[in-house]
Amino acid sequence: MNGEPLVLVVDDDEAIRTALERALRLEGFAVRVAAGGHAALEMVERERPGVMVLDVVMPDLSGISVVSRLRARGDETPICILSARDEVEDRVAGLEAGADDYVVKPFDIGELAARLRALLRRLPSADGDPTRVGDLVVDPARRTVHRAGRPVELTRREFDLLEELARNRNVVLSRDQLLEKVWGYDFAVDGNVVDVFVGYLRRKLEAEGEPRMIHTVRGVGFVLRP
Amino acid sequence: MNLAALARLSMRTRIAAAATAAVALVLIAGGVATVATFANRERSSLDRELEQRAQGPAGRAVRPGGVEDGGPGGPGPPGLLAESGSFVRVIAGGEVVQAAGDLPAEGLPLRPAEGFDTVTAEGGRWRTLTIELPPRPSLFGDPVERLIQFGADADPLEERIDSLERRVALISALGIGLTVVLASLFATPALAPLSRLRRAVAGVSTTRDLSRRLPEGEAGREVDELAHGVNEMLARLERSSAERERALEATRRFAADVGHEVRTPLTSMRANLDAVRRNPTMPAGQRRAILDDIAREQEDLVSVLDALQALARGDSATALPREPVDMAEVLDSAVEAARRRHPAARIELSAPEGEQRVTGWPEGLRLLIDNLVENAVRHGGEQVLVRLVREDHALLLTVDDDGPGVPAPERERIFDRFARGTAVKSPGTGLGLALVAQQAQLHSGSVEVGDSDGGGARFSVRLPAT
Repeated sequence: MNGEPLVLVVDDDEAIRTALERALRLEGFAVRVAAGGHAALEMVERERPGVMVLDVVMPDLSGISVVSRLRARGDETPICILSARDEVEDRVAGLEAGADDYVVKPFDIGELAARLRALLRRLPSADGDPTRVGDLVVDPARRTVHRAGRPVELTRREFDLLEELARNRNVVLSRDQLLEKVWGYDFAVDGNVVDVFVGYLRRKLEAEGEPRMIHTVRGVGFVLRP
Repeated sequence: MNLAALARLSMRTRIAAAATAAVALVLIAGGVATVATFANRERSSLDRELEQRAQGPAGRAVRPGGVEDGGPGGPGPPGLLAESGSFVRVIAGGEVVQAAGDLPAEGLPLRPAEGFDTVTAEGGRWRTLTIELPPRPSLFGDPVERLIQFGADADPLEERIDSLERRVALISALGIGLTVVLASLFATPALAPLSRLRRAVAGVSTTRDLSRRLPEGEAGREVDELAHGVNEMLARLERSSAERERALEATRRFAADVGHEVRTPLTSMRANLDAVRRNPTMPAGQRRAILDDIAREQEDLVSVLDALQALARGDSATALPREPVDMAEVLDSAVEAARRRHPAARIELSAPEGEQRVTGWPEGLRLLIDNLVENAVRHGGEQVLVRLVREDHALLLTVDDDGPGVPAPERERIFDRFARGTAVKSPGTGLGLALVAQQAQLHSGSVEVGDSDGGGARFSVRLPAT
């Protein structure tokens, strides 16, 4: 290790692998590449990358399966998935499986690099006592969430987002604030990753018909209210 | 003939066969009834004659109290006479004791049953009536059983019957044969309308001219109904063929347009790339400008591709995913994203409080809003006003800009694919508004363009509210 952060690039297309490897090296990353899902899983074990860039559609093992398997074995390596604009369903599945962010192909290398740097800065897990908002209990120490006594399974990034909203209950947080605090993005980001994750959180928190807790404040952002 | 072979017969043969079968049935039934009636009457008249003879002198002569008969072989008793073609005999104990008339030499049974009978003897047929006489006391014990039998030659009668039968059969056969010929002859003109219909249909199919119609009201009801049905089918085929032709034409034009739209940026990209490659020593500023151009052209191409894929998805959307969608929420998210994309533009959103629900495909509705806002930012000035208004049964979404607006003559076709306004300063993909129109239509809504209060364009989308 020479101190350069290690990025694992997984894509079945050689042209994209080569271009990404070169471009990310020039951006100051150490880069390893894998041509498929199985190779990626092996390489994560061996190389312990700081962050992964993962293509969704691959012939041998899809990016979604790679995310699921990693998360199932407790591996929390941050993952940014690559998807085409019209692969919405695949993108949604990847994020729900536990990926942290997505970029749409073709993308701006500068923006991808900025996101990867942010994802590499592992935010320190907030410790402390469980936060209670109405019937919602968020426990940062054990990383568990209960709504009205019912446990709610969340991916890492969903948990971080909910925790941020819970700690700031009744305070409206803008998308930019959430991007910065939850994803570490202190730059303009194209896309709707906050909106997408708010959607997932709402669905999981309201799965048993409970009333809405995460409200949209139009033109401003989102707020958690009891 | 099996059923399959029957099914292959021509209509003419079938009609002839049906007529023949009907005529044959009538002739045969009539003939059988006629012969039976005649035969019945003739035979009963002969039977009555035999009965009368039995009541007459010959019968009486051998009855108790009548004239005593002579011995066997002796002359017949008086009155035991028979006219020619008839006989009478007395049988006792299985032997003929007396006989008169044209008795057949042999063949008559010697122990006949009582009553009427028809027997064949000496090659001829005889009708007989046998009556039991009171037994004559015998010297040797048991009384002897005696029968008197009257007979009449049945041949002339049976011949009359047979002859009638033959005549009836001949007439029937001739009638049936004639029916076959006549029915075949008459079936042809009867089937003429059908033949005309067949030729007309064949004409449509050889010329492939779907505008042709079959003649109606010239033939029988059934044929007319058939012609009417075929004509309706032709009309439907003509309509759908015209639609298909239009769709094909649109696809051809679209494919040509796509080629043009993609080739143009690819050409200038190639020119720009070659300029950089062939001039390694060009000034850094110039090099930078060319590379920026290449990046922009690439982005434009991506936009065209994105739009084309979205259009294709909408075109093939047979079953749109439908779920409740809060339009206010989607608008908020879309406007936020647009603000981030265009920090220089002022994009305002005004929507009623609370959920504004429609039923539809969230991705598609987002696409609709994104493209309307993008269009307003691109062709408008600095200000864009997005408004959502609740109507009775609909949600009205308006997007106003402060640009030059859309001239009235262009308003119709501005939603066509690759249609661009003439006064547009920075042309986009030419597909954004086509996508808006497509999504509006997929959501059972409508879209139109008019003037905004500020003199720019106002795009209005109406969607049925849930």
